[in-house]
Amino acid sequence: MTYIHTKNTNSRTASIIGSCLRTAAVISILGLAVGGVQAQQIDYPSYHWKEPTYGAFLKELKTDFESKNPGVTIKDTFVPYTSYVDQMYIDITAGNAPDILTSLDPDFKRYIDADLLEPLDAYLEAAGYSIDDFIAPAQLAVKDGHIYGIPFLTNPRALFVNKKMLDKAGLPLPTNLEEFNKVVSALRDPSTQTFGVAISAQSGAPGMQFLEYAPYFASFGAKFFTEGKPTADTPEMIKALTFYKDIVDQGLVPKGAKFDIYRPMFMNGKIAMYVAGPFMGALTQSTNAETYSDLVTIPLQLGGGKPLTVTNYLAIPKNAKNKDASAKLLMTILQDDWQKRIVALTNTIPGRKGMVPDSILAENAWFKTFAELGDSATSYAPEGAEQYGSDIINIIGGHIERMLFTGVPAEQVSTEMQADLVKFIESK
Amino acid sequence: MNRHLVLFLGPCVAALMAFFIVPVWQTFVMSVHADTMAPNPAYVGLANYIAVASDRNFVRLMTTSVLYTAGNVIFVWLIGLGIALLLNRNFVGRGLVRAAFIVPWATPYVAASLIFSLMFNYDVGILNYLLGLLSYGQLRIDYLTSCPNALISLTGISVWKLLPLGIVMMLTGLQSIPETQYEAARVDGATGLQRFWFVTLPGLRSTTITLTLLMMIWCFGRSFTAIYLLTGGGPAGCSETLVLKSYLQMFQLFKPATAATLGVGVLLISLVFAIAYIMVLAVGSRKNG
Repeated sequence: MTYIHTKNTNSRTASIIGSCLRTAAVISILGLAVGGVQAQQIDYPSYHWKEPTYGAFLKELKTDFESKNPGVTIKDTFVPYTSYVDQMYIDITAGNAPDILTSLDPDFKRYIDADLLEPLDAYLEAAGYSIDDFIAPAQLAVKDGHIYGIPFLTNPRALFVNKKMLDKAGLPLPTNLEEFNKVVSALRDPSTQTFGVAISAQSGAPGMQFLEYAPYFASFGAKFFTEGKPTADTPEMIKALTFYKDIVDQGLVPKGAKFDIYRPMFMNGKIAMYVAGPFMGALTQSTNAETYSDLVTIPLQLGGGKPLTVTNYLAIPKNAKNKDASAKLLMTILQDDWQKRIVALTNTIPGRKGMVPDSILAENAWFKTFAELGDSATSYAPEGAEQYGSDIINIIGGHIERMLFTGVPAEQVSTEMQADLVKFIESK
Repeated sequence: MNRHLVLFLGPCVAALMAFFIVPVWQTFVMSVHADTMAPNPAYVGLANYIAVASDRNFVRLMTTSVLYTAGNVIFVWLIGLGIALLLNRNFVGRGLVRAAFIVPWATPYVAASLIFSLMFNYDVGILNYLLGLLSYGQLRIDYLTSCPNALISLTGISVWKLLPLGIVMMLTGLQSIPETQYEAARVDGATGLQRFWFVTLPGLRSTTITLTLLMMIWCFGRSFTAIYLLTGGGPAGCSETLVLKSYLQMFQLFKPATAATLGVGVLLISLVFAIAYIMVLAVGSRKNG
């Protein structure tokens, strides 16, 4: 009896164990299936997700892409720009790469040079795109005949002018250095803290400041690097440095102010001119309708130089987990409709040439200047030494601060900066 | 007994290992390897230490760090003592005034720094606006974009932030001086200044030493937040400290070994202060015991 009871107990136990195993097998198969779907999650961390204009575009793209690609989701992790560059570089080099990387010019070249990005040639070819379809800064994505990323959008730099302020003073739009200086001097009024122009004149992170003053240097025709060689002691460079030092020394620009102070001043009619990308138009529109209605944009014309642009590139890291799905998303962004949507929602120039709709130009006259500059403006990264951009900008920033705040003459700064850049590049 | 010791101390030791010993060891290991973000950097021995010490900016970095620390220690002690002497008296609303002096401690450092950056602005800051009113527009100070003003302004912000610590410690020290000593001094005919010099100051000796050493450790090793936010170490390196330089090397220039070397340097210097602090505490407890 006891034996029978034990046998029954054993068979019941075996039956329970068997059921458990079967259930576990079903769960594991289901789990694998669910896991398979989860594996199609595109990890896309970016500082764009919470920006009003770029974020709106990305969210619209995400919704549409997910509805048209069942089983594929986009993980929209927001990382503030201040920590994004550091975090991405550490994640990628540590083997914990996202599926899609956003990068600005100098950092992008560094990733390519470190062989950390996946070539996109096959995906682009299959989608019918070649390098000639893209705006000029796309050349930065090319190494040894391979394309390592796509230009997502670009922000060429042009001069925003509050025309009402110039009209009030009876001044024309500046088309050369002399006219520019005239506006800057005439509109400076210390009693109301009104300025003719704003440019970075403070000490701080060199990268952000470089973006503010580099378009002026480029407009003079001054280049810190030409084809990989330092050219910081040219007559154009001395002219640009002297101009910069003079307007700061004479108190013609808001001294010690970061852009988060002088951009609102421009938007609120306290500053007449400001060099920025087209994003500034959207910002002004959302902040001050009156200033927006007075806005005019023209290319910055201080010398014979070319305009600069700041480009956001999208790329797929080599150790990304979902390369095919990520590439599909990038190719979707390149489609005509989405390229035009970039313009409509972000007021910037998309990566493919000729994608700015006429309707947008008709509605926003100020945008025409940027549309014209978009195809030809060059990258702000040091030419031919883009991968050392951070170091080079750091060296330049130190010399610029010495000139602006410790009284060192422009000529001396030019000579010493050239010597330091030569020394740096020789050490590489 | 041993089991209890392990149970009670185990988590603490494990946490210390995980969050202190291991990161410090990793930093040291990083400092003796090649300056690259690439995986498996080569071992380079003390080359990074030699490179950092022979850098033309090293003396300037050390000087700035020491001046910043010394400024903090001296002014927190002096102003802290002055305010503590006032708060040690009986007056109406003393509790409220004492609470008010704690406000800087409770204010988040980043928020405070951003407010100071607006106040210190050359053209549109409130300080220069008020100076302009008082001087009929003749006087304006370049707080953050001239040297040494930038370092002085940043030291001032740090002093403001650390002042409550100085006040509280000095107040505690003052209240521990027996009233009988002041009475004896009065009976002997000592003036107010003499009572301060011969009773108060000697009575605050141990508090002063403790505060000084704590401030040295904190200020030298934490000279970062306001400096990073307000000047980024500028103008032209004028307010750049060793700690800030270490951060910038890692997260702006992606030079992990140089950053780690500077970090180890800061740790070693702070350790000297910490050992001095522990020795003072040990001597004090022996005297009391």
